Amino acid sequence: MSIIQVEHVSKVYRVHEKPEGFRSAMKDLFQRRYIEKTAVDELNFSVEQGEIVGLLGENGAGKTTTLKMLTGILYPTAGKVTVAGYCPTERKKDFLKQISFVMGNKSDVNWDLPAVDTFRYQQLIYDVPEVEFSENVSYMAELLEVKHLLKTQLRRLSLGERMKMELINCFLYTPKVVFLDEPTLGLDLRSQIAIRTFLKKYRNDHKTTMMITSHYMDDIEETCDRVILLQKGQKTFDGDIAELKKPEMSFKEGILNLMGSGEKQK
Amino acid sequence: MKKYLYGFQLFFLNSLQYRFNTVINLFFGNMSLLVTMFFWVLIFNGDFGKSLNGFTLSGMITYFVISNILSKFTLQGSGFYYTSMVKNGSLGSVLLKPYRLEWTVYFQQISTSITGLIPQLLFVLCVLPFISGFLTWNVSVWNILSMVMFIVIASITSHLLWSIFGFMAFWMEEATAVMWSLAVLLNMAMGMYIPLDFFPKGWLSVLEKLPFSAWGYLPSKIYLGLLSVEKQLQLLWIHLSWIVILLLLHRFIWKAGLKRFSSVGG
Amino acid sequence: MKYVKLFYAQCKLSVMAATMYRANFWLMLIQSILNTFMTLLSVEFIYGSVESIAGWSKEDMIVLICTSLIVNQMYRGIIHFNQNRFVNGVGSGGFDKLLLRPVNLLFQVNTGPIHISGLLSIIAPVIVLLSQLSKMSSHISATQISLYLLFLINGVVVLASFMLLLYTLAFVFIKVDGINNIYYLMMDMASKPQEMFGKECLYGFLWVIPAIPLANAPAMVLLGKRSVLPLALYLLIGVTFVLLSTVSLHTGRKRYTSASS
Ligand SMILES: Nc1ncnc2c1ncn2[C@@H]1O[C@H](COP(=O)(O)OP(=O)(O)OP(=O)(O)O)[C@@H](O)[C@H]1O
Ligand SMILES: [Mg+2]
Repeated sequence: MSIIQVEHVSKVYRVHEKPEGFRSAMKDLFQRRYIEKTAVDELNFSVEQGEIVGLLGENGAGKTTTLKMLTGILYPTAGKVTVAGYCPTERKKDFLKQISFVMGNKSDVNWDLPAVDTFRYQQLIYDVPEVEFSENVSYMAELLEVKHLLKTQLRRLSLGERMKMELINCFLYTPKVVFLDEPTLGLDLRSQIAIRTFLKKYRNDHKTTMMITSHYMDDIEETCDRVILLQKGQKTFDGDIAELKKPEMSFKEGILNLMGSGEKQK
Repeated sequence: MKKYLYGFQLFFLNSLQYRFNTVINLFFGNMSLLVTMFFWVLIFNGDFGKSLNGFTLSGMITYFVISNILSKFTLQGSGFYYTSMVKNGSLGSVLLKPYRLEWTVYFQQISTSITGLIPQLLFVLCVLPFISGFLTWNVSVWNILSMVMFIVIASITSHLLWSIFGFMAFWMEEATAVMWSLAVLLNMAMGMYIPLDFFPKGWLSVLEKLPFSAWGYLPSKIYLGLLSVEKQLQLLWIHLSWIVILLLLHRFIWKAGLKRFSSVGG
Repeated sequence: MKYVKLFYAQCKLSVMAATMYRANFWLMLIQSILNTFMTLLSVEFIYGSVESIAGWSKEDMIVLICTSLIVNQMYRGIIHFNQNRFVNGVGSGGFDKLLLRPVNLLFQVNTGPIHISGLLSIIAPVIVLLSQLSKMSSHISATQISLYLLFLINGVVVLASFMLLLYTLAFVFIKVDGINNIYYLMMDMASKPQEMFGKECLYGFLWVIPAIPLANAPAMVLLGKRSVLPLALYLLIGVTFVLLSTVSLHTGRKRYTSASS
């Protein structure tokens, strides 16, 4: 059975229409108007163990929303999600210990403390045995070249260095399925390459399943085995990355082409 | 003026946006007045004929309603205005503007206070039908005038004194924390916890001559008709002379503070 | 066991972080001592003109007020800050992180960094309470003291669950910081004798707005006053509110939309 299964999943956000001007604000006081926004529309796909899948799409296509449903943060409006045999929104402990969600732009760590202290706390939360903990930290710190920074206060680290720490934090308990939402956002070329290399190597060592979103096509091209393209919440392409790597066209051109034909289909 | 009105409108629109929060704030922000009221009913054992230190039960309840409203004219904000200016360094640019800073701040704070008074008055209006039986209503025109005099004096002395407290920021980092402690002490001295008549013998004759008594205690007593005209006049002169004293102190400390500000470099 | 460890780790981390802002820390402490002192001073002054208030002597009243301050500061030091973080998280999307951890949601919402100076503010009322007790020590048994501690904890639990129940409205209304006013109001009411609520409203202030279980219940046990309820019922109120807040948290979560990022 596939490790991730998504069947007919939709997500509709109900947003309050913000009124403009004073008079409509008064009217709004008594009668609120809502608009329904379909962020994800009838999505179907499945992912096998050990695969790295790239989730592509323009801004607002519904990538983050999809990942949030896969991790149990959001309830789908309709459809069924299964990850590692569990329903994510039930938040079973065994399930949560198997997955990890790397958010490129959010973190709620204690900025005053060095990274090791954060890792220790994470160790406690996920019941990581001491041996596994020290092995994992030194293995990943080496791979990401941040060994010398482990004892520095987090707020003194650069964006890229912090992102690498965040990665270590998220991989600390050897999760089986990892979701990464724009892990290379705002990083320089060197750090981007370091993270890609890390992800590939990590997968080869641990057979981890991953889903990555990114707006840097190089991330996708180099790490992923497969690509899913979302457009306005709908899947318009799902296939092997080899299909897109043709001699007559670069990867980027291939994606652009796909997006164009996806538009036409509608 | 227009700018102020626009600011008010924005504030109003924002309140509409979060109407739940606005209602909760309006309703529960002032509810403690009712708790105080019922506590005093308990202390008087519900006996309307009884008198404690010159206060009947309805007099006592009226005292708390009035002093709570009038205490809004105590301009604590002036102090915090100066500390934040010194702290974030915006004082330098304000000093270049062609107006007398102390009076600009005064009028700014007064208008904030009046805005803050609106929800409180609304609350009192809402509960008035239920509590009007507990209140004293017989006031003479003279007492009203005298009360207004004291309130005007209170707003000026509190503005000056709190500004002086705010100037502490020139010399120390933690001025705000000290000011919060002072606020607790002054609340006691202005009769917010309990009328000054309940203090041990001798305290009253000193406290009523200090500027704080005008910030809540004296005007409420005048409203209740518990202060003879002679006494009112005598205290009026004392409190007027406080304005002069505080004005001089204010000038002096302000100059010293500026000297320090420019030598340290802000 | 794991939860005890987690809690301990949080305490350690907060202490480590707090030592960096020392000056402010002491000033906050002084402020809270002043606050306690002023509250007690006004009680002193009131009892200058009355003998007793609804059967509460000055000594009784001091015990009641100190108890309410202790309950208040324990809540403020350990829980309130984190509940506010939860409310902000619901608005900003920070709540995502809590949902991802394999740790009980109720535990995560209520605990986290400790507000050290809030917690240390407990010292002032505890000292006053102890000195008051040493004056009356002949009447107080060990059972009373242990019951007092039990009910004190129960008070904190009731307050925390009641507030959480209200804060979960953040899932619907997003901005709910006005609810903090209800907290201040609760503490104001908790420090008043239960007789204030009258016979008619008594049950309302036990089961709907649970002001009486917070400080009146423990103070009553300590002072050997006659309870209006069988004692076990106070604990039942605690359990009820914990259950209510759990249900409300899990129901509210279904409406959580995270933040568009
Ligand atoms: N919490 C929310 N409330 C209302 N609407 C939302 C919310 N989150 C997302 N949306 C809307 O849903 C749609 C999909 O958003 P989503 O964040 O999934 O896009 P994305 O593919 O991750 O985009 P990006 O590349 O910009 O990160 C957008 O149109 C967005 O406006
Ligand atoms: Mg996104």
